[in-house]
Amino acid sequence: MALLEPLFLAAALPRYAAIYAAVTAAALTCLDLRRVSKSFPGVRALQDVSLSLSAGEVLGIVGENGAGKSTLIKILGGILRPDAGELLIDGQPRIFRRVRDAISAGIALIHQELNLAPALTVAENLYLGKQPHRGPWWFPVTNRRKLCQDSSLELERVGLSVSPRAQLGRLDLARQQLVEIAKALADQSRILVFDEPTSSLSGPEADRLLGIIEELRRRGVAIIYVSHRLGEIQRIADRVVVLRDGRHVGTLSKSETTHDRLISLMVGRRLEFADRQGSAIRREAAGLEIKNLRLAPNSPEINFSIQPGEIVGFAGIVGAGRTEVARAVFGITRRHAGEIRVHGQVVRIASPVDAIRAGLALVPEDRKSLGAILPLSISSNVSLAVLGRLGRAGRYNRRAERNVAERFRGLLGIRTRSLNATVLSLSGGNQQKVVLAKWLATEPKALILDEPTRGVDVGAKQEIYRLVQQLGQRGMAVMLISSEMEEILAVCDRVLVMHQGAIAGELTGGDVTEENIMRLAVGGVDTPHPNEVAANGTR
Amino acid sequence: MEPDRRLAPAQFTEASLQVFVMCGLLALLVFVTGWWNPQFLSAYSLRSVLRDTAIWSLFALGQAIVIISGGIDLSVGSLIAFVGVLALMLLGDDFGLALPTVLVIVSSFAVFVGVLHGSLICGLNLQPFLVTLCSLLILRGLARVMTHDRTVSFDAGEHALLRTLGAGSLCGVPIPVFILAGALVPLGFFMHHTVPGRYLYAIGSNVDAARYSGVRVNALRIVSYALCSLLTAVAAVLEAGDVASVPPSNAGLAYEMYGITGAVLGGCSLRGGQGSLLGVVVGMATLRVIKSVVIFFNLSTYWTFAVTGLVLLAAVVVDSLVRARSQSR
Ligand SMILES: Nc1ncnc2c1ncn2[C@@H]1O[C@H](COP(=O)(O)OP(=O)(O)OP(=O)(O)O)[C@@H](O)[C@H]1O
Ligand SMILES: [Mg+2]
Repeated sequence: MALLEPLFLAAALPRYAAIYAAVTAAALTCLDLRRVSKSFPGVRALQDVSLSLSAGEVLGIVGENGAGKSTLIKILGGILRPDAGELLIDGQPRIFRRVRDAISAGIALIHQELNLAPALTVAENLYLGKQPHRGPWWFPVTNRRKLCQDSSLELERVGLSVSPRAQLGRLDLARQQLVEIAKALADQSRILVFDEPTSSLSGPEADRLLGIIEELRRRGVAIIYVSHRLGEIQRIADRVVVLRDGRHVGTLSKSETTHDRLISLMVGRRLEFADRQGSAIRREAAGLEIKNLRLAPNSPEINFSIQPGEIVGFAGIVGAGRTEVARAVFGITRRHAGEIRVHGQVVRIASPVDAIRAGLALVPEDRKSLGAILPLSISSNVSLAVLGRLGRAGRYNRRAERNVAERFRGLLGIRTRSLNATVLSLSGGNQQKVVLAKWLATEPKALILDEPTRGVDVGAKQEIYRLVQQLGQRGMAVMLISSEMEEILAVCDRVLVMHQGAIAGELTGGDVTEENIMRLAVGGVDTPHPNEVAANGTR
Repeated sequence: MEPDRRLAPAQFTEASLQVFVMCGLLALLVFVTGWWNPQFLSAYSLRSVLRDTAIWSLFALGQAIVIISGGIDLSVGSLIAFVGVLALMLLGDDFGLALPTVLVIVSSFAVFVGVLHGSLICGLNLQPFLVTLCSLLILRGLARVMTHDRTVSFDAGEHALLRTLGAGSLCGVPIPVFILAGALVPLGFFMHHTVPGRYLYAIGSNVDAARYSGVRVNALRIVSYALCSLLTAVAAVLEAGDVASVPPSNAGLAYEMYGITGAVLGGCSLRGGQGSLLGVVVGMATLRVIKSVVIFFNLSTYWTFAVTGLVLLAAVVVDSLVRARSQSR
């Protein structure tokens, strides 16, 4: 036994070392930003922003859309260079000229917009920039076996059950987001920066990520976490920095971060949350009715109908098949079988053009590739779908185009210097508003929203909900796919929960509760333990 | 529930699927033509098909590497003319250099051109199409200026080595085939099994993702253009040896289009990030066989372009239908 003692000690040593490191590191500032400024043509994105970060600390950053959060993070990652100010790592001034400088300083980024190579496999994406290899440095031969083994572990860690050899471009947005997260975690960096990592994740996946972050913090990793989900910020951030119009307007410690204080600092005034006005459901022919829809020969049958003026929420975990249903209804992917009726009329939809003609509109979840034409101006984007209607006899009417864009800029609070600016130059949340405006402008008979408020700040969300409700009162049927529980609870008249490609249940009135939704979403009949939800969620 | 196919390992990539389809098409073409006109299967005819396929494949491989990494090189045809002219002039009486020296000079020049392309494209953020279009004009122009637009040729007896490289055979197989094999194996290994090769695919698929992951994007893109020009120069020398003369205004005319067509037939996507080098060789062979088909079916050779275009169109259409099908399932 005595012989074995040293062995046990040796086994325990790394653990003690880690704890020791965490304890001593906590006092050390590992990252210091001093009076950083950055301007884009016509916009001061950051002005004199200073902040510091210690090992083993989670720093939350919040602010409205366009407040400068992503700009700050891109500076940390070596993607943008500040106009003024300095950046210190472990007390040493550093200048990041390119991404590799930041990586070698131990900083890993998770971008707000996905940055993955769709034509490559999941594993190759995970290790992009650091593929395991054999052979000398000047002739690095890929080591596929190791690549696959390593990536399986990383994927398991974020709860993603996908083959490492699957092609990335075929995964849905949420799974791609998880790959992006796993990729940053695989870096083993000392400083991890998350820019809205959960914006396309549903409850269980987001929970799991927060769990991972807490574990990383214990191991002494320094973390910056940007999110519009204030609940997450309150849960994990030790301190919260609030940005407004590119300025650092306040830092709150954990005990000070209440929902209201965060919002009043972010917005600079108090926000009123309008209660849901009485719903305007009309009992006439259904606005949108789906009968016997099958996506593939042996997939479950899907039936639902939405009345004019009704807002029906679609809840479920990642991969439950909500986006697939939306895409099939809109004619993007092929349906195996099924009938679609709009205002009681059977419509033939084989392509998005048919769908638009039939009076449908879809706001897709992936704004970057599906929603916005990034190099075009904001007004061209907003008016794109109604252009034919604006001009007479097919003529292009610039004045009308501007009017439409101007109206939605006001309604949704699109923050921009000019409507002629390209969508590319907007912050993520503002891009989302442009996509939304484009489809709201068509005033469709039935509107399908797939994660419409992804990355949108709290204030603007309220505006969007109000607008959707107004459209409902004018008789529009709304199908709202959302992974955000609050959104589902606050906006919807009725909730359908999907599980593994089928509609697992329907909730109305008082039954629309978080517990009921979660229970159906994970396919359980009994209420599972919350931890179990988190663990099983992604299976 | 049945397992989601998108989450499973990609069994074959779309590119490798297309290679299979192309192999089938090629076999069919050879079979039908040989049946129609057995002369097509004569040793002489087959040898010339093989020789051309090998020479063309060399620059098509270069083109494919550039296309995979998200670029394009339009200067190939002009570079063939320029390098051919340059090589023959250096060998000729005025300079009287030995073949190895000429090869070194010519390859260094080609690498220089490729690096210049890459640097302009990456450093100044110019579009590949534009930069290489300029080279297409400049190099063709220079080739004609240098020769006063007169065909340069060499004496096959005096430069037997060059002649053999281009036109000779070993055990009945044209020498260029061995040279192609010598290039294909290391290049295939480089693209499919080394880290920089895989990064070229990543760059072609999403440049920002690669850059944000710390991949040396600019260096690798420059390498891709340099490889393309170098392979083109090798093809130029072989072609000069084969034909024994280089007409500066006609040599390599439209070869960039051959290269692009071969690459696309072989499974490369012009959007970048996809394609296999073996496929490119199959694509090029198909292209060359089509040329023979036109002849052996007693059509006028003027038909070659039209038929090639139709085959390419058919391939692209079939491919997109197959792809749409496999994705909607
Ligand atoms: N490349 C660019 N060119 C011009 N302006 C830009 C560019 N990138 C950002 N901006 C501007 O800088 C400001 C800050 O943008 P940033 O992306 O940092 O906002 P954010 O806080 O991340 O917002 P969101 O919550 O919407 O993601 C915005 O006004 C934006 O329009
Ligand atoms: Mg942002």
